[in-house]
Amino acid sequence: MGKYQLGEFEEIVMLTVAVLHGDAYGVSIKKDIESRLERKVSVGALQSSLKRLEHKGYLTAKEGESTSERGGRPKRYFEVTASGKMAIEATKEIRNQLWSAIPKVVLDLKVQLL
Amino acid sequence: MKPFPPKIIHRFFRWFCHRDLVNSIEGDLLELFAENVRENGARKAKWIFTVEVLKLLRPGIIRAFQFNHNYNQTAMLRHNLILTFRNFNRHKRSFLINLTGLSTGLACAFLIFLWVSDELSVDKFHQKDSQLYQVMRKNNSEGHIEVSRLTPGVLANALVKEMPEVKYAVHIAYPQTMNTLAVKGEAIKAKGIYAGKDLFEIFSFDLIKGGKSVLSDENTIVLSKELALKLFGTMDNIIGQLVTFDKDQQFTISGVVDTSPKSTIQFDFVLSLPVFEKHNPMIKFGWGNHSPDTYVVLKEGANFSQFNHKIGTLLKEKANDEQNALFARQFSTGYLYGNYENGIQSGGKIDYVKLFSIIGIFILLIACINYMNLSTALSSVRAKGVAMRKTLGANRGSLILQYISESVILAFLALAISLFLVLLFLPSFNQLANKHISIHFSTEMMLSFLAITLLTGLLAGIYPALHISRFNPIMIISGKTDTIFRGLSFRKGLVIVQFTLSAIFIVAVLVAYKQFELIQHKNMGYDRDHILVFDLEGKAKEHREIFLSEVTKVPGVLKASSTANIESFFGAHSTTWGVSWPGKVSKATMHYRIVDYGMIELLGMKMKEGRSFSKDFNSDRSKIIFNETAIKTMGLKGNPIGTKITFMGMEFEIVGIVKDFHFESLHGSVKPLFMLLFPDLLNTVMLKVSNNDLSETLNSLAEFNGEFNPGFPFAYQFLDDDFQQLYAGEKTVSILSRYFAGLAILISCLGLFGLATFTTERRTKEIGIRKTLGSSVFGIVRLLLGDFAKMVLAAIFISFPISYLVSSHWLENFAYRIELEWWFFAAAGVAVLFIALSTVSVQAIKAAQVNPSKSLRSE
Repeated sequence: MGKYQLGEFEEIVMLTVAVLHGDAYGVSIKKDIESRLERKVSVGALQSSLKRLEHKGYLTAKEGESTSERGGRPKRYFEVTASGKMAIEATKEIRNQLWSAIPKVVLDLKVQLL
Repeated sequence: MKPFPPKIIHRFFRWFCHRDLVNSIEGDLLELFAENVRENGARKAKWIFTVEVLKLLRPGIIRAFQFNHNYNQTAMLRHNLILTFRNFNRHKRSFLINLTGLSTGLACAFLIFLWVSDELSVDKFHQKDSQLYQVMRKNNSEGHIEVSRLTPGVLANALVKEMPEVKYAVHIAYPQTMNTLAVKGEAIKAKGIYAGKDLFEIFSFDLIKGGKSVLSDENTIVLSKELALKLFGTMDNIIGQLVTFDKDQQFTISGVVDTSPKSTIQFDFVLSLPVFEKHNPMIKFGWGNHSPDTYVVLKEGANFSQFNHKIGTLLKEKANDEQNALFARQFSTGYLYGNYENGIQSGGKIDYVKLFSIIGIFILLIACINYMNLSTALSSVRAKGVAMRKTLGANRGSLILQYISESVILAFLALAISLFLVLLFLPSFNQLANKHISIHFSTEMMLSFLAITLLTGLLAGIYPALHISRFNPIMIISGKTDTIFRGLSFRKGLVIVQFTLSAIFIVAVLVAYKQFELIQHKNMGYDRDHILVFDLEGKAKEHREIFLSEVTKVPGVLKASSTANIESFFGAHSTTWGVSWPGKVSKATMHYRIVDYGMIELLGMKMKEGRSFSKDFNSDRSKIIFNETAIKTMGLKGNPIGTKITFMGMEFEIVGIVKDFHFESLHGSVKPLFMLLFPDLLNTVMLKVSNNDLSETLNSLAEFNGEFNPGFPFAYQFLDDDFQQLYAGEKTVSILSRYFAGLAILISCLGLFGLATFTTERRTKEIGIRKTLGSSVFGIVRLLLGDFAKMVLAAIFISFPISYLVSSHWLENFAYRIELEWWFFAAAGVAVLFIALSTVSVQAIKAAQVNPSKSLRSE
């Protein structure tokens, strides 16, 4: 499954774009991630991640409307592409496989230790 | 008021951010900023904004800082090259004009460069150059200080013995005439020097044969390579052979030396110094007698100024001589800085070096201006192309690069042609400048040439490049051509600069020419035409009176006499202050000439009072003749004729006063002088010959000399040539400046021609319309000439004050000089105007005569 490679943050960005379906642009993605993950996300980190994903073909972007608050600058909306969808599904599949492969004992032990 | 994010940070972001992302990210940032202002206040928001921007500094977001994304250097260069040659091809005329101008300009600059570097390298080849000094002498005569190179003949030994910082010291003495050297009946006249034994330790002359002790023996002689080849035809196995010297002495050859043309010390042979005293019994070396030159090499690390100070008082200590003081100067500076005015260094040949460097730069500048003018003029034709390239994304940098590479390529084409020109004209240039310059393609020279070319190319190209790349494509494509004509006044200014320089050159040439005419034709107080000079020696010297009376029988010889020469008849070489007269107060130095009977008549000098030397009086050996200036200086009371004066312990009676004559160059005024009969010292024959059949007279003279004086070759010289030597420097400058001025004007006119052709072509339609509306050919020519005439007139007026200052400064070098007259300037102005307008009018008349139906129909 080496075909799809997503970093941890990339995966989150992909999923958030998918969640925000139709309303995924810089600020909304940032806020969504921040509220869900309870961590700060810098514009720089987000944008470079978005650019990388776009470059890999997992996301497409199109220019949208602009508001006066944005100084007349257009929003840049992102959508997950078909291959992007396959990528997150593949990642999810790997996770699931890994989860199911974990022997019960390990988890129990963990519980006991806690 | 609504807060804004920090401006600098904002602009910084816009500058570095990738073009594709900048707008959307900026939007995001601004949206976040507005939200932060609401939630956290303006200060915090600004801070967050700054941090966010700084965090955006990462590889994917920073844009590529290149002119182009796929900037392909070689492809661009090739493209530029193709464009350049296409342009040359399309605008053949301006290409040719520019090429001619630049290559002529470069050729001039290279010739001047070669000349200057040759001048700068004179006497610099000695290995000990930095430690090598010449001892000079200041002679204070009534407050007027004259500098002489002649020093006491005992100085060198004293310096070596008494001053620890002196490593070597050597004298060089010059004989008064040439000598005759003979090997197996082959006799040759040659000029030698007498030198101390350390000569070759001090000077790095190339000693081909023999060791450094070649001069330690009084019986030895060192020959120059040229003389050895002339005498023996070979340099092999000549060491130890005997040379007969002036018929009766013999010297053994101990060495052969190759003298350098870059040395001011020139000789055919070297004898050891003690021989000098034997050959000149009148001269006894001592502290009071100044005969030879002195050169010293100081030890490494010696304090020069301390040494200079010490020798300054040496003559006072040794000989109680307060009138003379010694000083030293670095030997190799003597050539360029040879002039002294009242004891203070005042330039010399360095002035000419500077002058020609400036001329060279100006000529190059004129050629560059041609290029600037023609290519900016052409830019109106090329404007559309530039606009197109700009629209398609060419930025200013690449356009500038293209135009500069065009001029640099042209400069390098010109370099090839100019090198060819330099090689072609170098022999004639050498002859004019009296030089032996050769082009040896050394790295240093090639690098200098390349650097000059590159600089010329850049200078020529920078203005057109800046001008053209500034065009606004929208304006040009929509037909508004204002931008093209911006800079028109700058171009006019350039033309004015060119013609100002040309006018200055013309005035300079005129002034130099008139000054030389003055020197050539000024009444010097004697007649120097058709006078032959040759050495009096051998049998002729023994039987001088018979020789002189016999020689007048040779057909063509009018008068004969003899004199005692040192170096030449002219110049300030023989001076004394040992003359005393009744009531003497003046300590003035007097010049003197040893003459023979008939000398004053032969030279056509006039007596003011009294009589000349004459054989009709028996006792004329105790008589003396002064010139007018001397009598004035002496301030004798009553009638000077008959007054008794003392010189060298002998008494002389004044028999006559000769009218002042210029025995030195016209750089100075006439100095006091006296003339004596001193038969033992006479060594030079002077003959006045007839103008007719000169070559026949010379042949008969050679024949006569061969019979009367066998074994001594007949080597003569004309007195006039001797005289011309006084002005050799000025003459070279005058001739060279004439050529360079001519070239400067030529190049300027070339540019003007190109400009005129271009403007008239551009105005073809205008002329056509004017003609249909009834304008005459004359009216149109006047219209076309008007602009150029204004520029040239402005140039002429600017040139007046400059050329006045320059030429009056130069004339200050002469005691007898021409007045600067208004017509010099007027003539230069008229000449420049005439040349410029005739250049332009050729084109103007041609354009004005074109039938308007033709010029208006063609589209």
